[in-house]
Amino acid sequence: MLVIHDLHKNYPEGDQTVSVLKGLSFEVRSPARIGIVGTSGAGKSTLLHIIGGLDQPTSGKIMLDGEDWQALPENRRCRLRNLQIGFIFQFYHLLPELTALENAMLPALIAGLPPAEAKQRAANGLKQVGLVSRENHMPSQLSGGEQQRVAIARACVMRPKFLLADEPTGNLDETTGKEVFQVLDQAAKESGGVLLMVTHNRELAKKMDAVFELKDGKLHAV
Amino acid sequence: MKMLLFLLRRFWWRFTLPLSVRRMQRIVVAGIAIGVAALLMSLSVTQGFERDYKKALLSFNAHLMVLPVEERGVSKEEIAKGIDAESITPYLYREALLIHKGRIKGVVLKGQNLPAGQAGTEDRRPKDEIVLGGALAQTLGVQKGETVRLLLPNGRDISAKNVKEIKVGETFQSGLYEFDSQFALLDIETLQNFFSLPKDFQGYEIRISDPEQAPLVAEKLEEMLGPLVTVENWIDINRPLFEALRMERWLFWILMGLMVFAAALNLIGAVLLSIFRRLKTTSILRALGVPPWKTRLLFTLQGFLLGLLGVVLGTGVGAGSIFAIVRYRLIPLDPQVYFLETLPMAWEANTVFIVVFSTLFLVWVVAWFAAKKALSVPIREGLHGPG
Ligand SMILES: Nc1ncnc2c1ncn2[C@@H]1O[C@H](COP(=O)(O)OP(=O)(O)OP(=O)(O)O)[C@@H](O)[C@H]1O
Ligand SMILES: [Mg+2]
Repeated sequence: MLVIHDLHKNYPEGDQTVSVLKGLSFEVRSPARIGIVGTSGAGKSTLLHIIGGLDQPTSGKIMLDGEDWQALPENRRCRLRNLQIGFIFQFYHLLPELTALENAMLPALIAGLPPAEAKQRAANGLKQVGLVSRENHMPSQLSGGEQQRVAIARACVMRPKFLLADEPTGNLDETTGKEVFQVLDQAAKESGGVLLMVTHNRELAKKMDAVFELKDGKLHAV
Repeated sequence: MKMLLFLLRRFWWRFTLPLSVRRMQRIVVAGIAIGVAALLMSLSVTQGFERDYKKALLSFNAHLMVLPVEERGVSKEEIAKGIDAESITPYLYREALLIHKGRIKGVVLKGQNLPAGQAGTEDRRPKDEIVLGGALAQTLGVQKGETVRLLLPNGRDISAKNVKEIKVGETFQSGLYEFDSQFALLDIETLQNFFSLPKDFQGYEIRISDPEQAPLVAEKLEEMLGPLVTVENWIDINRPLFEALRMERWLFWILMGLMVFAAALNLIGAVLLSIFRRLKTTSILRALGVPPWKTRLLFTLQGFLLGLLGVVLGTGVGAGSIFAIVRYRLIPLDPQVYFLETLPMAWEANTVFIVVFSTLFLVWVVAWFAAKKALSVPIREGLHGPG
């Protein structure tokens, strides 16, 4: 369960501050697949980063399964991010130093699982996203769609309760985008947690359980 | 920890950093290697000098010398009672001029019970022979079997009775030019006769099992034998030499240590550069939940590995050079200046240990401070950075 209460985020800009999120409140119970739409610059990425603990809110409260993000010590927050949150970025963000399989293993290694088990899980994940034959490719040898599928396998390897996808198909052509979305959708169903997906694609958004629009610093049901 | 090693291995072997960064890393490694090699080599030179000087001093001189004044004779038994000596042998020093074929040289005559061959044998050399230092014989152009003349300084009386003729036997090489160019050995009784000294007028040279204990033993002996007897020991006699060597060693520590320090500081640049080039990788790792201290450790270890490589290479190069220089006598010295013929080098495990571990420690500290930078960029911004 994800609870956001009165979330504010300001960015300093010169000697003024820009308010991106203005008292945003939101609540969702798992399992749920939520689409988030909004114009460019509305603050969608900002929201996702704050939920995932990559950025600090100016004020407000975020509860992930009853744990207060802001109150947690840094190490605990990292642990939680590792185990409970799966990030999928628009630009994939795979480590260029690692193969597809190694990238997918990474969260499991960070969690301290034995390498053999991490490998097993990652291999399973790659199988699910249909990349068995690409295990040992470097990211630079993969297409955009393939990289995004590796990123999904990586995000899911610890079976996190929260999947945060920031325009996962934004950088892909329509067909590939649909494929990738299906993989993500499948993963979300299996995990039984919360999927938050930012997208500009209204068609994909429609397939979600609910869609919200981020506007004027708040979320509005569509 | 497994995760860090996993990443380190990939970062190290998959050359994803640009060539310029890797070139800089190589320069840093080379710098540390050169510094460590130079430090090891210069220290081994000072240790080599110390070792060889000690060896030569000890092979020529005893550990302790008991010198009585004329009125008070000391007997061997008296000394043996007080200390645990390996050997106690009578000796006597006198100075004279050595004359041969028109060449004159001042020499120190040392009277002792000359052993005939190997040390430890009881046979004595013929009493009418003089044994010259190798360099001394060379200066005078004396061959074995020739006769030389000794002019003894007996006041102002330069009459014939103060000129003695004596046959030259072997020459000796102590390893120290200072000795080889100044000393002549002859039988102690012959020397006593030359200078018309009473038969019991002599000092004693004492060897003990642990030469480093000489000053202590000397003190004990002096106390026991009373105020009329002086007891010298080889360490106090040669103290200026050893102090100069110690000073030299400190100087090398400081100078070459600074060089290593400067090389280690270069590591800061290398670590910062690799952090900058891996900004995105770092941000992804942090986004995936690697805690800050582990992120910092990851970059510390990368820097440390470079340092380690430098230290290993430097130690290897240093050891190889020292071995080659010693084995093939690559660096000859002027014996008149250094008393030794080739550059001595000693490889001491203790020193190597200290150099290696203090450098590694330094490298770790430097890398740890530089690696702090890995946490300076917020994750969000780093995700769009290079790497
Ligand atoms: N580090 C920052 N400093 C200052 N302003 C920032 C910073 N990051 C984001 N912003 C501003 O916050 C606003 C929201 O940015 P955000 O990236 O969340 O938008 P978005 O909804 O994801 O847009 P897009 O659809 O283009 O990705 C933008 O106006 C942006 O300029
Ligand atoms: Mg965005």
